[in-house]
Amino acid sequence: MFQENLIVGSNENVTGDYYLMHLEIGEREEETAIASAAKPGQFVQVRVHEGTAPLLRRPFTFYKARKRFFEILYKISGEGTRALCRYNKGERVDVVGPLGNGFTLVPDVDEHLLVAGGSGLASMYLLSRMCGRSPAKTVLLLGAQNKDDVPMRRSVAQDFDGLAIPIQVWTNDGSLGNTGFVTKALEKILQDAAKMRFAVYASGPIGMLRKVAELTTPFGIPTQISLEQHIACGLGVCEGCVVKTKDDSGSGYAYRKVCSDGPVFDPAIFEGYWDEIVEP
Amino acid sequence: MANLEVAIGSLTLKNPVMLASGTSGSGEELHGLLQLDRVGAVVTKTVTLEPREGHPPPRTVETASGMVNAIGLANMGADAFIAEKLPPLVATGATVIASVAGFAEEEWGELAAKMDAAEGVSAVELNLSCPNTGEEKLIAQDPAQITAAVSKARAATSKPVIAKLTPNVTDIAGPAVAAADAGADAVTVANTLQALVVDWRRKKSRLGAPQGGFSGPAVKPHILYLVNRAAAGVNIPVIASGGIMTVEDVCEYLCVGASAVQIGTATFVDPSAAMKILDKLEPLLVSLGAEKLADYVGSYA
Ligand SMILES: Cc1cc2nc3c(=O)[nH]c(=O)nc-3n(C[C@H](O)[C@H](O)[C@H](O)COP(=O)(O)OP(=O)(O)OC[C@H]3O[C@@H](n4cnc5c(N)ncnc54)[C@H](O)[C@@H]3O)c2cc1C
Ligand SMILES: Cc1cc2nc3c(=O)[nH]c(=O)nc-3n(C[C@H](O)[C@H](O)[C@H](O)COP(=O)(O)O)c2cc1C
Ligand code: FES
Repeated sequence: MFQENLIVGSNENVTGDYYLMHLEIGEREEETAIASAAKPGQFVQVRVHEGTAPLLRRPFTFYKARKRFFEILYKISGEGTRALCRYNKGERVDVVGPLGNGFTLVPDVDEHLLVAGGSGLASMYLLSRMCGRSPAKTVLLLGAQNKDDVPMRRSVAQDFDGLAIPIQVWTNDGSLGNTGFVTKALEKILQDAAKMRFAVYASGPIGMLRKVAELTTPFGIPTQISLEQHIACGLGVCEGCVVKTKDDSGSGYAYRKVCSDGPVFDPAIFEGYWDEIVEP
Repeated sequence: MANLEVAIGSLTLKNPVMLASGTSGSGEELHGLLQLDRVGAVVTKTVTLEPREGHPPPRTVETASGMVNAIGLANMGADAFIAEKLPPLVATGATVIASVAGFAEEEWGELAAKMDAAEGVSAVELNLSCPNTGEEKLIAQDPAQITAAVSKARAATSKPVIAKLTPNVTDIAGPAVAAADAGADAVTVANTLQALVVDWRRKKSRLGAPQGGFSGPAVKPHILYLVNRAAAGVNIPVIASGGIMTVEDVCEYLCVGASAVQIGTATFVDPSAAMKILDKLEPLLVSLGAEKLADYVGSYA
């Protein structure tokens, strides 16, 4: 875990409320320790504002990470993200990371199914690259309310084009791609090829994650979901970000910390507790 | 070079900047972001005799220049803490102050005895003031209960005992005097302010619990007032806790009578806040003409 004061290389609108921020190390240094250690699904705590309002850092997953830089793909959803989008090229941003446990590659499968809802797309680029290192095929299912909530534009679209993986877009109102919930697409794929060995990785709203879990866990399909809750410290010190889960014995419940036990979890631990998890 | 040492009973801290309870975990989590052996002391998350699961989520809400938390004193219990969390923290070279909270009167003695026996614990802070236990009245709101809890702990340990008070009182001097008279070596002023965060549409608390504790820079003016009052009332050191973000905030507290300070919410905003403050404190005191910390403490006219 590191704290770095990185330089904004760019901070540009992707589409609608989505922005992509490029954070890089100064010329004289070799690498950012944060980016160099980053794994798919891990996150950074970003000081979105130097003053006291907004006060707390905001968590964002790694969209892209190389030696000298990383990028975050974020959606403006309140004061903190609005402050973030005001940063200009050349300004410095204080970041702590990499934090939490990310996705792990599931071995011995035929296909990796990546399911993203809205800003959940942010973790899918690094994840796709990781999946690309295995012989199995990778497919991305991307869902959103409408076309403005699909940040697959400009450099993000170019990045995914470069991966050359099949991408299916689903919008609830049909304004882009297929009409309906992205989990419908997942259901169909799982049904049509019942003999294939899938691994499912998902990031998005709680409702979507719950549906994904219902489609996969009863059938023993290895699944990992990335969960969001309000984060204060992000370091595992405050006990603030907990969610209710099954305990290790499976007979009772335990609170687990999203920031340090997650944010990526095996959804089986939420069975029976989904109703108690609230959208942050 | 100004001497930054500060005495809390028989314990001498190398400097007055501590990490507050509940905002630095068991210290170890901050390893790499902060040199734990550089801060005056690490006050660990409050532990109770039995483990506590804490309140249902959500447990934190950000407010204007502050935050409200309802963690509910989630902790693994004193024994597990001593066995699992304490040794790695001690190994970092940190000066450790263990925070404890009892419910029944005898528990304060039992907890203090456990910390007395625990190797590497330099002092005990009694959390008499957690607003998140669901009790109607806080111990620190009742001088008789303060006397009882501090006396029990005092009798059970030869290590310094610090009483952490609540700001939710009409006059902090009463509780501070009660703690001092019962044998406390210092008082910490103060824990979080009782607070509500309201979802008016759903007509409910925005926290999993009905109420929470308010902290962060927004509370500083109020806690400055309390520290000043408490320092005027007792002859033991007053440790300030409330909204400290910068070295200037630290100087404000020292000036009005605090002998030491604790960094709480600021650690969330900047995990290395305490070190940044320490880097600046010594030269700043020198520039103010102080040869030692005590020259400046309480210099407020
Ligand atoms: C591990 C993790 C990774 C994330 N990665 C991304 C990402 O890559 N791209 C992206 O667009 N968003 C991401 N989010 C969500 C993002 O952190 C929130 O949208 C952001 O904090 C909102 O802040 P705000 O001040 O703009 O909104 P406000 O609603 O004004 O925020 C008020 C408070 O609520 C918290 N909060 C609000 N929404 C969320 C949320 N969905 N999750 C967690 N806390 C929230 C804020 O941190 C803040 O404390 C992630 C969240 C987590 C927990
Ligand atoms: C999330 C959180 C958890 C806390 N837990 C404890 C605790 O367990 N014991 C305790 O004595 N104080 C606890 N506190 C209070 C802090 O130690 C500190 O006294 C208070 O937050 C005021 O200081 P600040 O404004 O610098 O944060 C907690 C505060 C926060 C924000
Ligand atoms: S946000 Fe503090 S423990 Fe997770």
